[in-house]
Amino acid sequence: MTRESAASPAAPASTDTARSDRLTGRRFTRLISVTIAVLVLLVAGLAAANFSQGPRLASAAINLDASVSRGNPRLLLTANLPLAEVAAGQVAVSPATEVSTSVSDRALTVEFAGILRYNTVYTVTVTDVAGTSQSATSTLEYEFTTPDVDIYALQRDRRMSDSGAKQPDTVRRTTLLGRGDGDVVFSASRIQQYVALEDHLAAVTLGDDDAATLEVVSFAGGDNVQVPLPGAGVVENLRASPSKYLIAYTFTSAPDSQGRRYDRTPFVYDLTEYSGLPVEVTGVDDLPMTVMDLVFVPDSTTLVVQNSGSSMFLVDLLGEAVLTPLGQHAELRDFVPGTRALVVADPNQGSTIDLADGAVTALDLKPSLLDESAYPGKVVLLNEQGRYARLFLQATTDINQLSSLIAVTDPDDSSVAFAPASESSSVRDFCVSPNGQYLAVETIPAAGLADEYPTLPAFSGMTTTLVDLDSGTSSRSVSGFLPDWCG
Amino acid sequence: MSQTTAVRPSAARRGPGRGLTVGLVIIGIVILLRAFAPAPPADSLADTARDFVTLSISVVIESLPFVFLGIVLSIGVQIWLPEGFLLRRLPKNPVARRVVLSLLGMLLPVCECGNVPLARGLIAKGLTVGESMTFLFAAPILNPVTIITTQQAFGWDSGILAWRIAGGFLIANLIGYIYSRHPKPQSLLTPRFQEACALGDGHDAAAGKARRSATLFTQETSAMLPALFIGAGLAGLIQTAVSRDVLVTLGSHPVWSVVALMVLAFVVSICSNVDAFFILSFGATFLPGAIVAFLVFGPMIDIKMLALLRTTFTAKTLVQLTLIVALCSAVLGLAINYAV
Repeated sequence: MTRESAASPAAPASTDTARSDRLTGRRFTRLISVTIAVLVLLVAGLAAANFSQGPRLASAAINLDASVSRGNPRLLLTANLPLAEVAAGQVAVSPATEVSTSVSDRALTVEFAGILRYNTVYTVTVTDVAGTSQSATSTLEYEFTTPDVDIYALQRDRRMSDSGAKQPDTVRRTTLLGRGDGDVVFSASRIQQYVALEDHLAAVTLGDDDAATLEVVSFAGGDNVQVPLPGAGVVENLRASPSKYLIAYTFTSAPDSQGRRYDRTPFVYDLTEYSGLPVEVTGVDDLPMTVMDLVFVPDSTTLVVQNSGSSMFLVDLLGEAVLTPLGQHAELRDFVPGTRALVVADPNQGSTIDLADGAVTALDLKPSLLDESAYPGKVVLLNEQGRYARLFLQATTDINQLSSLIAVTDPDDSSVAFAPASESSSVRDFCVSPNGQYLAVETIPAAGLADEYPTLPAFSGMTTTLVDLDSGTSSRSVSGFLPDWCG
Repeated sequence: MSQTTAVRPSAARRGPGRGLTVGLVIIGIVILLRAFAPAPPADSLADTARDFVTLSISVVIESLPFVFLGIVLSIGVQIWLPEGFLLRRLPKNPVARRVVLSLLGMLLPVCECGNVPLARGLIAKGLTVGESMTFLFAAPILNPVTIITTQQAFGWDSGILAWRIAGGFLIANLIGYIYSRHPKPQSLLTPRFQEACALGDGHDAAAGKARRSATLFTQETSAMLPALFIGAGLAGLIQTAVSRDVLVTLGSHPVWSVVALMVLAFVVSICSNVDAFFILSFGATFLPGAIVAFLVFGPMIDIKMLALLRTTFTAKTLVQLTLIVALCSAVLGLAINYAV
């Protein structure tokens, strides 16, 4: 009784507690079950999504500065998955550019032929890209814009100041997209020639006695460095390998006190060399050499020299200066833009020498539309497919006047790419930009007066016009001449 | 009822000094052997063996400074902080309490091996089972040593560190929330827990802090270094013994790479303080989602951890925990592989 009476009130409470526990237990079990079910569904869904997804672009890299200054720039596309082989045909580039491809693990390397255009938006689209581990394909797309480029020009000033001193010559720097003639980066009373490096400028200045001085200017500031020359003399053929901080030149002088006479003797000066002394480039058996011309192999420490006997050599300036003969040719021209194909000329025919394998290819240039009606002049090869630009002098209505024209010819077409605004103006010289996109044409105005410099003489009021070789339009004009592209 | 601390007399007498002496003697013998042994020929080891030794040693060398840093910090917070200093400061709100507990590893920076006895002690001092689980699963990841080693291994830019921190935090709080809903949390614990708890919580109160620190240093070093050496050896062994093609094939697949590295994490049982260096050598082969799944799943559930947890939780609970953590880690890894 007592037990019953004591138990009776507690029984419903115990039952309620048990029921509550069972309810809470079921809720917990349901919570666990639902959580696991939701997670299983998520895993299944994500697994299915991953199975059906092709490779995606994880990152892309390209050296934009090098893409407009050095040949065969590479775009590295990194996918999130290891990639199956990609054929060049799967890659479309806008504007159209020839490419080759290679795949290594997740990286797809797209190598462009030549050098890319300045200030241009490139879109690279790779279709049907598959991973190595699954068959799903996708399209990878990447867009980049190439940078603007510095343009230098030399302005010679014949004017005299009120004090009777000659106004200084200046080297100015602007860009393709810039306006006006740009900023003065170097000035001196008489500047014969200059070359621009990545962050330096080397210039040959002349004294009143025409003796040359070679100065190096850093764009970062600081004092100019005067390169020691063997004595008073003439500096010519100033060349630069901008990315390697090297300049080369020839020096000519009368015999010095020890009887040594320099006759277009080649020297090389390394801007990074602590000794600060230029090094003479010697010929076979370490004998002094007289050179007609010299040029750097693009983006290298190798020099091509042509000696007085018209023999050409490759000289590697690193380590032992070993000479590699390139044969005998009448004229050393320049490299085909964006390549290591050296253009040389002989009386009968020009040819290219591929420095990668030494292969010599005779040039078979198609006739220009002006061949029959004008006098041919300087020729510049624009690509390895035989496209070239040539200066012509054509008779005008004035029998004392010849007009200058530049024609661009390729295997399929020939057209006039540049004619001065006035028939009385004439073209002094022209060259092609390192990427082959522009012609830089130096024009002498009708009223131009000769500056009578002993080396590289020019005229007052000269301008340099940039002609887009694809569109044929003259897109930019700057005061001065000797653009760095022609150095 | 008062609890007594059972300490084996022999162990108490021996103290840390004997272990240190033995260790120093062994190191001395090794140095003497190396000094007087003739120089081995250059090709005394086969390429595979040389690769194994090089890879294993590189993991050890990369990891050792951080292991010792973790031990020193652990000693600081476990011995030199006042008793109850941490528990008194926890919020009352359950959600906020779990959030704070999941960040407690920032103050108690030990890997998962050290967290189990620590969590048992915290339960004994008043934490609920759900809260202790939150601490247990978050602390190995959300602690400065693990964060520093992961950052050293993968940097900030890869996103792996961020995903690891976020994944560890979310999974630990999800587990804590789920088990906070259990009607009888005590039923999740093994019957012998109280006894084990008492053993785990025991300190030789009579000993000075410096002596206890030395003891703890010896214990932590004895626990951590074998795990590190075994993990480093396994890392070297797997990379030299398993065909590179197999790894690449698995590692390059967005789904199988996640599965493969989760299995690897479970088997290898490497401490969270050093696992980032371990998996770094696979970083170029496996996809980022798989790496994250490894770095999140491994510190929470592995063979070694299950053995330790079995002293506290029932087998059924451990099965549930393993399933939920594995599924969460897989979701995280697969989502990263899909999105990144």
